[in-house]
Parts: sequence; C-alpha cells; structure tokens
Amino acid sequence: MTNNVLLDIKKLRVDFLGVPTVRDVDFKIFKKETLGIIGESGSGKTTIARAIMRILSEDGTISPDSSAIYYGLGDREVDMFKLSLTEYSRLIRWKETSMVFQSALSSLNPTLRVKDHFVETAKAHGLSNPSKIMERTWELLEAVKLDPDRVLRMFTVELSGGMKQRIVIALSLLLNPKIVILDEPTTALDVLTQRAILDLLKKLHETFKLTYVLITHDIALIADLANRVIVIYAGKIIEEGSVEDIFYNPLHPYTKLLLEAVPKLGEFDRLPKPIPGVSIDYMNLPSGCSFHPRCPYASNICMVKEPSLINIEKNRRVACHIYTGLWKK
Amino acid sequence: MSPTRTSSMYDAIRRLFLFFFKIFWRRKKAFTGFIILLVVYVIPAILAIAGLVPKLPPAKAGWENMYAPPSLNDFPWYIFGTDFTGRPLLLCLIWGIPSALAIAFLAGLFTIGIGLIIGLSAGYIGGLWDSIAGIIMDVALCIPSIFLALIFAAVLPTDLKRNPFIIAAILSITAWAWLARSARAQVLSLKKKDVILVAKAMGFRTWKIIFDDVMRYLMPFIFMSLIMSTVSAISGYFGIAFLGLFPVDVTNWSIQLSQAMSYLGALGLIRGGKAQLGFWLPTIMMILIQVALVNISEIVEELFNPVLRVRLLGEIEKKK
Amino acid sequence: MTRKYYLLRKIYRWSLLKWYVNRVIYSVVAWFFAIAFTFALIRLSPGDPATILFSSFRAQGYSIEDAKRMVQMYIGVLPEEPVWYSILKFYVNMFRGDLGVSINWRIPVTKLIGMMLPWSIFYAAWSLAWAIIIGVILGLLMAYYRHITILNSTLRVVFSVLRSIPAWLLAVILHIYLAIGYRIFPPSGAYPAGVQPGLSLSFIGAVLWHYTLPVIVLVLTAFPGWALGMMAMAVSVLHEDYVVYAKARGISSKRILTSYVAKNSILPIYTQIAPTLATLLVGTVWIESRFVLPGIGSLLATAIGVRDYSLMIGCYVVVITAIVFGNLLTDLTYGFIDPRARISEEV
Repeated sequence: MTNNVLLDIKKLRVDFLGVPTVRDVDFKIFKKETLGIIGESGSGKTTIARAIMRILSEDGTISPDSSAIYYGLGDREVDMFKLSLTEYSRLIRWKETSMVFQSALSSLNPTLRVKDHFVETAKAHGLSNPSKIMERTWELLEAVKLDPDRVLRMFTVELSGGMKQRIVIALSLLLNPKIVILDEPTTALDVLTQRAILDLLKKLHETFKLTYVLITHDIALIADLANRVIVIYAGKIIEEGSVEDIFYNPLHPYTKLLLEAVPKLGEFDRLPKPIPGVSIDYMNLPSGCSFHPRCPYASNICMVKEPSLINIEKNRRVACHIYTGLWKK
Repeated sequence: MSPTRTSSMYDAIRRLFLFFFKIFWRRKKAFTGFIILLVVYVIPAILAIAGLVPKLPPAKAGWENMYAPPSLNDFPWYIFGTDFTGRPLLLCLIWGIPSALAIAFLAGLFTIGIGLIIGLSAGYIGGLWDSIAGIIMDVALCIPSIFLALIFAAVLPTDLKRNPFIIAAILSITAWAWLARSARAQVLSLKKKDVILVAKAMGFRTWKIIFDDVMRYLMPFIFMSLIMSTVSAISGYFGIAFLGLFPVDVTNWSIQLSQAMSYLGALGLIRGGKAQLGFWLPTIMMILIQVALVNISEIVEELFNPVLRVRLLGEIEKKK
Repeated sequence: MTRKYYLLRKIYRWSLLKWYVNRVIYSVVAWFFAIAFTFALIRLSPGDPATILFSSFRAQGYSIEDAKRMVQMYIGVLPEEPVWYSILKFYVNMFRGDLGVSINWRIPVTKLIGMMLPWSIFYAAWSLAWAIIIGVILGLLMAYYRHITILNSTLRVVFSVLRSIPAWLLAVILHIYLAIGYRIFPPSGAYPAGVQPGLSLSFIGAVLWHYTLPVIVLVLTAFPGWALGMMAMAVSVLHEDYVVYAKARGISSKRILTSYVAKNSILPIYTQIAPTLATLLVGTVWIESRFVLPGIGSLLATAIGVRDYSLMIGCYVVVITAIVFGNLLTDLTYGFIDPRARISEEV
C-alpha cells in the first residue's frame, strides 16, 4: 500500500483567528489517481488545498499535530507541514505540487504579459537560461492548445476566460509536478469552454502522468473526472469512497441529499430538492454531529455525540451514527 | 444609524445621544478631537461672545512691555505674558477664536451650499444648464482656491474685506467644485435608474425624491467636504492674513505670529527669546484646530464608509 | 482574418486620435474661461486695477489722455471699456507675447516671468520628485509591514500632525529655527553672493544646498498624502488573488513588492502627480518669499505687496496655464502607463 501513496495527510486542523474550521482531516493521495473533494461553499475544501500549498492567509494556522507526509522525493519522506517556508519553497513548492486557483480569471497580474508570468516562475525556481525557459513555455502552451506566438505577448485584459484557464493550467505544469490541485477549474466558464477544458485536463493527466486533486461543488465534474471521492462538511470528512460507490451507494445522508439535489436528464416530473437549513457558522457549530439540524434522519444520539470516521470497507469510510450502531429512529 | 419610528421624538433624541456616546467610548481618539474643539475653541468663543471675558486693554508702549514674561497679574490673563503691543497674550488669542471659527465654518457652508445647488440642479435639470454648469465646474476645478483667494484679497478694497461673509466667500470661491461634481454624478445615476420617473408617476414631489435618495448617498461626501473645506479655509485665511492682505488686528493669530517672527528674526533666538511664547502659542492655536478637525473627519469617515461602519457597530454589539 | 484585424486597428487609431484632439480642445476651452472669468471678476470688482491706476495717475497730475495711455501700456486695458472687450484685448495681447508692463519695475511682464519661472519649476519638480519617492516607498513598507502596530501608530500620529500644518506655517517655523536661529541652513537666496551663475559644479552644488531647507518644507507637506494613498492601494492589492497566486508559485517577496504590488498600485497614483504639482506651485508664493528665492511665487508675492496689478495677473495666467497643461498631459499619457486603459479602448 505504501508503494502507491504519494501524500498522506493526518489530523489536519486549521484555525482562523482561533476558530477551528478544518478539523481532524486525514486522507491519502495515491499516485496517478484523481481524487475529488466535494463540499458546499465554506465547507473547508479550499482551506485544505491552501494548507497543503502553504499559502494560508495570515489569520490561518495549521495545528502542530497535523502532518502531511510526502513520499514523492525518491526514498525520503518529508512532512510538508514541518518544513520551514524556505525549505518548502526549495523542495516542494511548484516542483512537486502545484495548484490551479479557483479564480483563474483574476490569478494573473494585470500589468504583466503572459510571457512574464512563465519567465518569473521559472526564474524563481532557479532556471535562468532564457532559451530553455522559452522552449518549455512553448511546449506547455501548445499542450494546452494555445498559440504561443499570439498569446505570449498579451496582457490579461486581452484574454478570454477559457484562455486564462489554459494559461493557468500550463503554468501549473511548468516544473513537472507530481500533484496538481485543481480548485473549481471550470466554475466560471461557459458550458462549451467547460467541456473543452475538461477534455484538456483528461489528456494532460495521461500525457504528463499527473495526480489530480479536484476540488469542486459540481457533482457532474466529479462524476466525469474523479475516480475517488471525499465529501467534506463543516471542515470534516463525512464520507469517502470510489466514485461509483459514492454515486450508486451513498452512505451519509448529506451525500444522499446532495445527489438528489441535482436534477437528472429525463426526470421531468420531479422538482429539484434543495437541502434545507442554513450554512455553516464555525463560531457557533451545532452540538454533536454538525449536520444534524439539516439531516432528515437525525436522532437523539446525533445531537449529543459527534460521529467519528469509521472504515466500512477498504478505502470506504463514513462519519454517521447510522453506521455506528448507536442510531435509533 | 438606526432611527426606527418611535412614537416620541424625545425617545429618538435620547437614543441618538446614547448611540453617539457608545461610539465615542469605543473610539477615544476621535473623542479627543471633539474635546479639543470644544474645550479649547468653542467654549472660550462662547464665553467671549457672552461677555464673560474682559475686553482687550489698550496697547502699552515701551520695550519692557513687549513680550513681557508670564506673570500672575490679573489672573489668568497674563499667564502667557504679553504680545508685541503689551496686551495679555492669552486674551488676544481668545478674542481671535470667534472670528476664526465663524469664517471657517461660513466658508465650509458656502462650499457645500453652492456645491449642492449647482451640482444637483445641473444633474436634474440637464440640458443647456448642465453644459454651462459643467464648464463652470471644470474651470473651478483647475483653479486652486487659495490662489484665487489671494488675488482677490490683493485686489479688493479694505472695507469690503472687513466683512466676514466676503472673506468666507473669497476663500470658498472654487472649493465647491468637487462636491458639485459628485452631486451631479449621483443625480445622473439616479435618473438613469428611472427612479425619478416612477416616483413622479406615483405622485411624489420631485424635491422629495432628490432629497431622500440622493442625499442618502451624498451624506458622506457632504460631511467630508464640509470638514475638509473648513480645514483648507482656515489654512487659507491665516495664510493670506499672514501676508497682511486682510484687515485684521492683534486678535488674529497670524498677525501675532508674523510680529513674533519679525521680532525673533531681527533679534535672533537668544536675545529675542522671550518672544517664543508669542510665536508658539498662535502657531499651536492654528495647528490644533486643524488636528481636531482632521481627527473628526476620520471618525466621520468611519461612520459613513460601510466597510468600516460595520466593523465599528460590530464592536459596539459585542460589548453589550 | 488578418485583413480585418488591420482594418480594425486603423479605425481604433482614428478614434483614438479623435479622443486626443477632443481632450486638447476641451482643455483649451477650460483654460480660456478660467482666465477670462478671473479677469472679468477683477475688472468688475470695486478694486478694479484699471480704474485705480487711472485715478492714481490723474492724481499725480497726468492729463486724461496721458493717464489713459499709461494705463493702456501697463495693463493693456482702459477703464471705461466694456469687460468683454477688455478680455478680448487681453487675449490678443497675450498671443502677441505681451502681458503688460510691471508697474513696479517697468520691465515687460513676460521678461520678468521668463527670468523667474525656471527657478520655480526646478524647485517644485525637485520637491515633488523627493516627496513621491519617499511617500511611495514609505507607503509600500507601511502596507507590507502593517502588522507591526508600533510603526503604524507612530506614523499615523506624525502624518496627522503634518497634515494639519499648512506649508507656509511650516516654512516660517523651520526658517526661524533652523535657518536663522541655529544657522544650520542658509537663510536666503538661491546661491551665496560670491558664486557665479553657470553650469559649474560649484554653482549647482551651492544652489542645491540653498534649496535644501525649502525642499524639506515642501516634501514634508506633500509626502504624507502620497504615503497614505500608496499604503491604501498596496494593502488592497496585497489581498488580490494574483498576489496569492504569485506566492503559491514561489515568487520572491522582493519581486512581489515591485512587479505586483508597486506596479498595480502606481496606476491611480500617476493621476495625482499633476494636482500635487499644482498645490506645490501655489505654496511657493509663501515659501519663496520667506526664503528669498527667485521664482514665480516670490514674484507674485512682491507684486501683491506693492499692488503691481499687471505682474499679478501675468503670474496668475502663467500658473493657471501650467496647471491646465499638467492635467492635460496626465490625461494624454495615462494610456502609456496603464495597459488596461490603452487596450480596452482597442478591445
């Protein structure tokens, strides 16, 4: 099993100004898989990504108990959270893991040209040979199906949404990372462009032998791209499994409601069912299971004791009292 | 602010006072601005006008009477010594407050008055008047207010310049343009939204529409404009008075400063040292009121800027 | 596809030209009215220079004809003319290069201004450059280190005091104490008596030394505004997504401060240069007279002191022209600074 594991995250806990948000998250990332992380806005998925990339804002702190053991550096194992920021930048940042941001549309510096973005990233990691940098940049831009001749000289304001997304994807591959975190890669795009980007992502996954961590609230995207899924609610993992397990046999009530909320093709007689209740306030979390106020199956035990994540089968986990034997109707 | 409809006006006023008190408590720095303004300027001015402060004694000739050192004579008027005419310095300074305050606030009122009238009318009436007003505004924006005020102070005859209204008018001669432009932009954006058309159809009178909607958005601009134009009016007034262009007397702080400066300049710091009180006290009077006003403008900004206001109100809520 | 592209480019260039021309015409109109308006107000006011001069010449014993001729020579207008006629005459004369004759010195106004203006331009520009450099760097640092509360609160106090002291007052204070009292700086003049004007190093050095304290005065008045503005901009830029993205890619703090924060904060600051220059120019009236420096400010101050009306109006015209020109220049060149403004016209 350890042969295949690329990144092993244990007991990840992030506090913002003292308020815990992401709590006790642990999961593994296997080589060459596409792990989907699904959850609603504010559930903590972007926080997990930023914690791994060590770009949390100044208000966020990673607990010292958390660890993220990375196995991709040959025979060394390194805890990414324990490295100093300089060490992290030297060893891991952008070389082993890179990220495509949620707002690719505003990820680029408006006063720099596209070319400058590539050159500065390369230079920041020690590559100084201008022709080599240009070669690599051309290779990447062609891989994302952009015309380097045209695009390199442009400023951000001249680019369309789809072009910006491709550039940001190209930038993420500059140093040949092993893990690419994709945070809502298609949310802000129109449907046709979404399709094109999706196909591109699949191709790149093959060509560059990448491992994707796909963060989104869009279930269809998960169904299309991911092979394994983690469901996050209120900063905790509440279900994990293969994409088929999650879709055809969801265990947690939240997952079930999530799937039911999405209308399916051909279903004309049923209105979409939104999930009732309000969104998460980390300063006033509900007692017991954080989902119980909105859960149609909530029982007395759910209001009192928080369910822990238990292993149902291999790589299949769920955090719900229905499966702990303590649940009564 | 939270004026909910209460049955009694008294209740509303009481709530307003309580609200302000809570704000001051949270932001003691701004509190100091108000306190300085009140204690050092407003209260002495009121006392002076009410006649509770003795009139200035006649000048005393003689070298020893110029910038005489502080003494306990006739307490408290000689605690800062005398000025260059032998009169008690503190008294001269206090008598300068009412005119300074009056001119400053008059200039501020002129600025926002003219600014609002021209801006709102230009936006609302539109057409030819808007084009004319537009040109006037752009011209006024190119000409620095103090500059034109300087020219006018040089050209106008002395008896006209004794009138505080004229002085205030000169000082605000192009200062109104910025507010006018903002007011006009606000009315125009409102017009685009057809709000005015709908309200008219519903039977509201147009002035009411303008006042309710436009004013709500303009309030922050108006307050800031009032305070900042008062600040620049004070600075302009004393600057021009320093050059001797306004008919002023020993109660004017600028004149006191200018005389003390000549004295120090002629005799040097050591021999002329006793004039230092006469130099610094007027200076402090001029600077302190600006500091107080700038301070108040910061708290006004905090009240009106939605981002900052939410934070402030949040802190007040938490205290409860 | 490329043919259409070139056609579009041609159209864009033409409309851009139209916008440039439009802007220039607009400025000229504003300038015209600014001067005409002031001129008219002065002529219509009870303190009308033409009438006053006429009366004073008559009082000195000149005949009506002679007095009229002299008023004509000095100011260029006659007391009994209608105002609009005076304004037109004034403009005609101005374009012929004639701004009247100084009553005090009996030299043509244009000659006087020509001698003095370069000094003021040097003074204002030199001070502005220092104010911007210090203000911008300080603003950037204040933004980047905004968590160090001691630094921030002390600077805020300093700034609010500096904002409350008018330039002329600061000049008085510093002059009395540092130049006359403690003799650290030279009290007057642009250069000491013995030095020959010319392009020699010693002359330039002497001038710069003599201007040090005046420059300090102007810089102290101007830099807080720049620092606060820059800090506000930089703080908002620091929270932008592209800065976080740059950090994610491993871009160094130095490069972030320069190519990301500074480059994106500068754009609105560029528009502040012209207005600040205008304020500085106006401030020179007091400061140049205090420090006895040559320049249009001290010229205007002297003119005011002796009621030299032709010189006053001449100085006023020059300063207004400089301000309008500065604003126009900013508008026209903004496109070169901000690629977004330039390109969105095209797109």
